[in-house]
Amino acid sequence: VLFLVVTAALACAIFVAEMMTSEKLTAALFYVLVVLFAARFCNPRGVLLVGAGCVGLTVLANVSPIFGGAEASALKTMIGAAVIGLTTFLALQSRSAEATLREQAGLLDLTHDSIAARRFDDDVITYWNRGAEELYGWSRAEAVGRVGSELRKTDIPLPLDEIKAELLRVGRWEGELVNNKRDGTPVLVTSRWSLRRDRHGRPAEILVTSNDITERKRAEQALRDSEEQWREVFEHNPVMYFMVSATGTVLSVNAFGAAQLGYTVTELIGQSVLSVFFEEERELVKSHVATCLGELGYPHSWEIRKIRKDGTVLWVRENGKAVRRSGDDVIVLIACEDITERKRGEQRVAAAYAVTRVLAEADSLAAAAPEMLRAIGENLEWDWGALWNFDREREPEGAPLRCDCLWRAPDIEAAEFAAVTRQRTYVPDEGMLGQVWRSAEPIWMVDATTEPQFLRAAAAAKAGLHSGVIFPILLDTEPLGVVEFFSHAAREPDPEQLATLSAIGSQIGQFIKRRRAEAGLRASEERWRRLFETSAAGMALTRLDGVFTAANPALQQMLGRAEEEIVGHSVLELNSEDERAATAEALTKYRSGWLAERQVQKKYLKKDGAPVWLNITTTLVPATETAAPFLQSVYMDITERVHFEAALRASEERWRAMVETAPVGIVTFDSAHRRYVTANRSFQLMTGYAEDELRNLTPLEITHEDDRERLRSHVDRIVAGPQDHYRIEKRYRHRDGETVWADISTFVVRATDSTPAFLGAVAVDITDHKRAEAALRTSEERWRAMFETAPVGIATFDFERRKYLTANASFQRMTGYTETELQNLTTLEITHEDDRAAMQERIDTGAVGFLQRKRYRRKDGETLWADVTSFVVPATDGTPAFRGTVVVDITDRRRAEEALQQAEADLARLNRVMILGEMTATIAHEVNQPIAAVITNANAGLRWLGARQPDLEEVRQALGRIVRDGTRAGEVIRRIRALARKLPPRQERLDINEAIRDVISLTQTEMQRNGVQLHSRLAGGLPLVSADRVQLQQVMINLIVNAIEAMTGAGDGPRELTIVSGTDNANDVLVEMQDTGPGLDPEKVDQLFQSFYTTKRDGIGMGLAISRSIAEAHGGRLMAARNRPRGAVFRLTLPIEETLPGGRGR
Amino acid sequence: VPRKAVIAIVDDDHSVREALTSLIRSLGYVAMAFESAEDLLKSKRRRSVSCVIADVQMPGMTGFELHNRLLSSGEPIPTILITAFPDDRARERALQAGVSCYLTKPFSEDELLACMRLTLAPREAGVRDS
Repeated sequence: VLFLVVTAALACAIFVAEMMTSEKLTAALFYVLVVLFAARFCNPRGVLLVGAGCVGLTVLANVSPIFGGAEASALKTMIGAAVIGLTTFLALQSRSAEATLREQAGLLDLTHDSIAARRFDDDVITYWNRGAEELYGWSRAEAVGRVGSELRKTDIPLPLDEIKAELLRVGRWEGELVNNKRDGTPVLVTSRWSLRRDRHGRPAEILVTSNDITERKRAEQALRDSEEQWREVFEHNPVMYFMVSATGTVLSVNAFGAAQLGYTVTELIGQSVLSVFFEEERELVKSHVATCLGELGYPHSWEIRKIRKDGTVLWVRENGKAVRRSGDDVIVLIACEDITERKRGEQRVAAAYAVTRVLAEADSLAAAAPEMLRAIGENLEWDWGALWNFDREREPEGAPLRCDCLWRAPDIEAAEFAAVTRQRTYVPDEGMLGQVWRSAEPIWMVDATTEPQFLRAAAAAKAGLHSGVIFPILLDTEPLGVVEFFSHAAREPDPEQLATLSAIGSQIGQFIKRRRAEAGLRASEERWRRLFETSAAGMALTRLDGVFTAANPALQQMLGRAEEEIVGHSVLELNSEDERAATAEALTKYRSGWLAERQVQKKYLKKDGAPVWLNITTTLVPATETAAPFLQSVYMDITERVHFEAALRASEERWRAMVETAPVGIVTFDSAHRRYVTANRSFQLMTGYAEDELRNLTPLEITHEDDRERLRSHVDRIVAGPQDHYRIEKRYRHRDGETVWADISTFVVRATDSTPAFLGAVAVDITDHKRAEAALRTSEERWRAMFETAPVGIATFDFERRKYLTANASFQRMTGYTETELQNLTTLEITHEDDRAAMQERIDTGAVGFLQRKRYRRKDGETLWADVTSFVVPATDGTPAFRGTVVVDITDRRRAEEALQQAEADLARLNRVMILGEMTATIAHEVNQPIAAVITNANAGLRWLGARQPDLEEVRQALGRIVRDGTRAGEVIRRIRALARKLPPRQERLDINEAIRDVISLTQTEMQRNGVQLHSRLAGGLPLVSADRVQLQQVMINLIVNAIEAMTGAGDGPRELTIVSGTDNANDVLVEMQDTGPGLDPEKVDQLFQSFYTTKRDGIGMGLAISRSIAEAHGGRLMAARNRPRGAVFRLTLPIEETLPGGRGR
Repeated sequence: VPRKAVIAIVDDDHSVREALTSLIRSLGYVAMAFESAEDLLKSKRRRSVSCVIADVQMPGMTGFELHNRLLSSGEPIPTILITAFPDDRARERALQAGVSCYLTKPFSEDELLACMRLTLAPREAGVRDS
């Protein structure tokens, strides 16, 4: 530009000269302008061409005549051309420099750094590259010419003057500053400033190169922040971090971890990690670490104690994890969390719980103390403890504290300290114990051995005990004792534990209070119990539902029940039944609160059911806080009194009733006025006067006139004494004037405490009696005569004792006893021994009135058979009820009957044998037939076998017949045996036809032998009968044999026997034997069945009698009738089974 | 060829009748069995009978009566009576009346054979003589 200006100035000078010389110069000037113009817009080549053209044209214009002016100075032309040429050259020169410059500027644009140039003086921007455009947002055009610091609101850390001074001094400055973009966002840049001096050495421009370092800065900051954060975390996180080598050396530990343990970081690094653990737990730690090492990368956790540098304990929860570091180094990372508080809390809770449990199970503090000390010591990690107490009983005033109980942890040796402790006593304010006792405040000693107030410091130091705690046993605010604990380890005061121990102290105090109260209660209860046990009055406690909860011995005795038979039972159970409702009602009232106390007399039941009258005072004891309401009762046995009163009352009532209802007149009258006081109904009836009327009368006034004098003298005599009664028969004058005869007994009733003397009289109306006496006398004589002379024995005997009262002559003769002897004998005593049981039974059942056959034992020992009828004679006015008996002597008749029965039995046996005897031939025939057949068959068989050509078929048939006939023989034998067998009668259900067939087969031969033709007509489908088969068959055989004999005995008549079976109208089964013999004599049919009746020459007449009794024994009948046209028919009927009488059959 | 002797058996007892029939046949005789005496008398073959063996007790005509009837009919047949009722008087009476044999049941084969031999021998001899 500068060049251009210079050029332009030169051109202008030329122009002026030209102007002054010639127009040629003017033209040249124009040409210069053209060149300049070209130089301004064209590339160098274009400028060169324009310049050359312009020169050419100027020359041309001077040389060419055509344009006239050729005569113009060539110099002038030369000068013009030179000027144009020079201008062109210069323009080109300028253009070239400019192009270089531009090229360089283009290079600057390529950089990402922002580059700007500012003038030194006024800070105006002279250059602004693309990097600056991009960075700040302003285009070059907008930026150039503006004041740089204003444009970018540069925030320079130093005053600009100082930077400039720096620039002037060293030529450059470098620093970080904050510019603002066009949109206002700040940009942190590193700026390098360079000073460009002009050629005169003056400061010209400041070249500013800036780099945006905002992002980098931010990243750096973030990195720094992060690292800071992690370090903070590591160092100050309230978690202890350890990095431990595989061998247990501490490689790293955070500050917090070290501080927690009371060390510095450097103190711990390089040490064995085991040094912070209890010795006895180091093995455990090793095993945990080994577990971690065993499982790389897996975390493990455990809880354990650590020891601080100062010896205090730290409970931690450790999380360990082994990891492999680069270089195959295995390390263990351990993070520990302080759980001391939690542990302590747990321990405190455990201690409090253990103490509570110990106290709950103990009876006294002395018993609880050892366990309690152990519970506190173990849970709260003390090593040694003692309970101090003072003997309240023996030294109530100012008793010193003495050690009551000691405890030590198992591994603690503190014998000397224990001995010192046992010897010591403390008074209030003496030493630490005394202070605690006085103040009732717990004390914590971090190190007791250095406490001047702790009086056993030396012994404690020797035992290695340091920290200690002392707390009072408090009942409300009154200290009852002191408990102390010590530990080897130093322990910082733990307010929480102090609070817990205080609470435990109060708890023990409450325990003592409760025990004291219980002891008091026991003493009181003991007194009450003794009163309860020894009281003569019955006492009991009852729940409101009426169940006894206690009953003293006195009550037990009253009720005749053991304690457990009362306690647990309801009062209702023990009440007499009629009392229960009232008792239940009273219980309801007690429960509802309506009744608080009452006294009643009540009937209870003894265990044996005997009633007991008790006077009971019951009081409701209301509910208390601890006890349900109950009833307490006091019992007095008033049974005797009640009985006495009842007896008295009953007695009086009886007397009154007796007097009032007595059928005799009973009166009393006062001995002074002799007026009637009382008179019973009978007397009123007897005399016709009412009681009221009698009260105004004297005995004399109603006595018959003729008897008055006699009466007066009698009365006077007994009133005067000493005789106190008389008895006379006298007459009253009835109110209606009639005479009444009376038997009077009068007596003096002497005065008692409560009643004055009076007279009493009993009057019996004997008017009717007098009248009846005569009639009775006559009647009785008549009866007595009849009684005495009756040919039957008549006797009367006493109802209860059964002794004879009277016995007539016949009775005396029969029994051989006199009446006097009989009066000392009972009916049973003269009864035959064998009949006494039956007699007794009749007496017991009270049977009377019917005939009884019994035996008496006569005085001479003989037996008297008698039919006896006994009867009851009801009581009459004069006689009580008694029994009478009429006895008929049947001894002779009885003997005849007995003989008859015996004979019948004998004959029955005989008959059976006879029947069998008669049938012997038949039996032989029946048996011989089949036997003969068998033998003959056998012979035939042998023959057939022995033939030259044995005929086996014949042999077989013969053998078959042998079997058949042998069987038949056996059958015959069986039937006979059955008939002859001596079996007791046996009922069976049988088919009558079968029985008949058996009988026929047994008697058939007999019939044939006697030429008797048999016809049988047996009805089919007959019902079964229940009978003894043999007996039935005997009957039928008997009838058949009779029929055969009857027909054969009758000579040449037809001999036909028909046996019929069937049923008759009454549905009985019947069997008829119809013969054609001589028949029956109608007049003797009735005798047929009697014993010993016979029509046979050699018969004994028992057959039919026995047959009939057999038939009747089966509930059937045996009858005889005439047969048509001739002969006899015997009919046997038997009830079919269903209609058998009850006692028989099945 | 000698004609076989015909023996009539009269017994109401079925067993005895059958047994005797069999035995007689086994001895080589011809046996004719009758249930009663009347049956034999009615029989047309009566004439061929050489010997009668009859039971004494039978319904209807007894064995003894049969013998008497045969005797009185003019055509007597030797008769052997058998009985299951041993009765000495009856036996005597029978033998007196001309009954060949009187056997008591049960009888042995030998007894019967002896009787039959005794009964048949004169007749057989007679036949041979004529």
